[in-house]
Amino acid sequence: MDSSQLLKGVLDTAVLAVLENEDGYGYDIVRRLRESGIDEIGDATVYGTLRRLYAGGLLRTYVVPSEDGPHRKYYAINDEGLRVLNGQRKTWVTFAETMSRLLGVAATDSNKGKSK
Amino acid sequence: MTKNKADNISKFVSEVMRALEGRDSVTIAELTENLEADLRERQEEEGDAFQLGDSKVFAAELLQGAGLSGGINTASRLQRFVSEILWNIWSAISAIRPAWWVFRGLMAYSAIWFILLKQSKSVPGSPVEWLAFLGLMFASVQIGRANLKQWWARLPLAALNVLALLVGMFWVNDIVNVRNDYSRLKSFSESNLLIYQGQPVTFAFAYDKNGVPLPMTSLKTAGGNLMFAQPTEDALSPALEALKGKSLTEANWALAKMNVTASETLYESVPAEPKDRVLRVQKVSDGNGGWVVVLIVAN
Repeated sequence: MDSSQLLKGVLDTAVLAVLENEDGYGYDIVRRLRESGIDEIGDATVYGTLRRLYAGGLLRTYVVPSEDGPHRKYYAINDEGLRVLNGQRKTWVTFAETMSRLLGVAATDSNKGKSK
Repeated sequence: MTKNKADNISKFVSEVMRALEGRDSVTIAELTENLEADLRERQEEEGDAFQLGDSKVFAAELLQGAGLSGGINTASRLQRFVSEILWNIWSAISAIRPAWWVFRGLMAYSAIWFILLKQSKSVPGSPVEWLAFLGLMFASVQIGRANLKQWWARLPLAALNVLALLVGMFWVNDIVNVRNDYSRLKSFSESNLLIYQGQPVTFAFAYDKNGVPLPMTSLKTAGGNLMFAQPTEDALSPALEALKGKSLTEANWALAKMNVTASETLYESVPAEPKDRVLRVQKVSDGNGGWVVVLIVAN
């Protein structure tokens, strides 16, 4: 199964979850996603997702001045973003339980088939 | 990082932006903001393993991630030109937004003052007024910085902005009126005009106790300073001639400066001439030994 396609479906949730813990700038968020195991999504997709979530009113931004380089635009989750994230969290738990149950049955059947 | 690698990243970002051309400039700026810094950071972390990849694929992924339909770089040259102009206008407006937030706070103070006390006021006096003034200004700036996205927050904010704009128009109008009044008073005070209730006196006649007009050529203060004098006819003639062709307002103003106190205006229908243009100037007797300047003006 192509996990990158699965990830695209839940990338919004993953980005919101990363930002729930701590604000971050573009590449910082990409890095934290990769550290958490999501490494099959391109940088550009994450940057686009950030822009979309911001346009959708789920994130706010602020600029942090930098002496070494250009000022960094930081993203932070807002109340609306938290509300959406909590909703998605519940959906994910239900979905994951359903799929695990289903796949667990399927895996057993498959094993049974092989043992015949 | 070597200069060559840094140049490659700059070039890559330029290519991505070029691939995004056709999108409005705000979108391009939002999608590529800090991109160069991010790529440099990644380059430093990954070292030689870092690959920039295809700028067009990167641009397409940006658009897809942002949920923007359509491909890359499909706009015509004209669309890109218009988009660039709009972006420049938007940038200029964005740059002065903080000034607007402060102005909006000032307008809120003026509006509240007017609503509560029916008085026009823009500069606080007492400490309490200053507190209210600074509080409103702070609130306005904070609201501006919050960059609200939700429609239910933006709608009342838009209404407040329109209100502030309207109050601002009255406010600016007040300032202009005060400046005009000040200029007029200054001009009066520097001229030799006799002023009564803020207006230049253009006619002045003296009467005895029986109501008979007294011959008069000048008015002086108790200290002997000349306030007002009838000009001599000889000195007046060339100046009156010069009034021809002027507008009525200009001519009246010039007469006032010449201390000509007796003037009348007659209108004559001359379609070829602009309205209120002085066509001729005449001096006629007033029947009391003096004379009146008559301006014949196009109607």
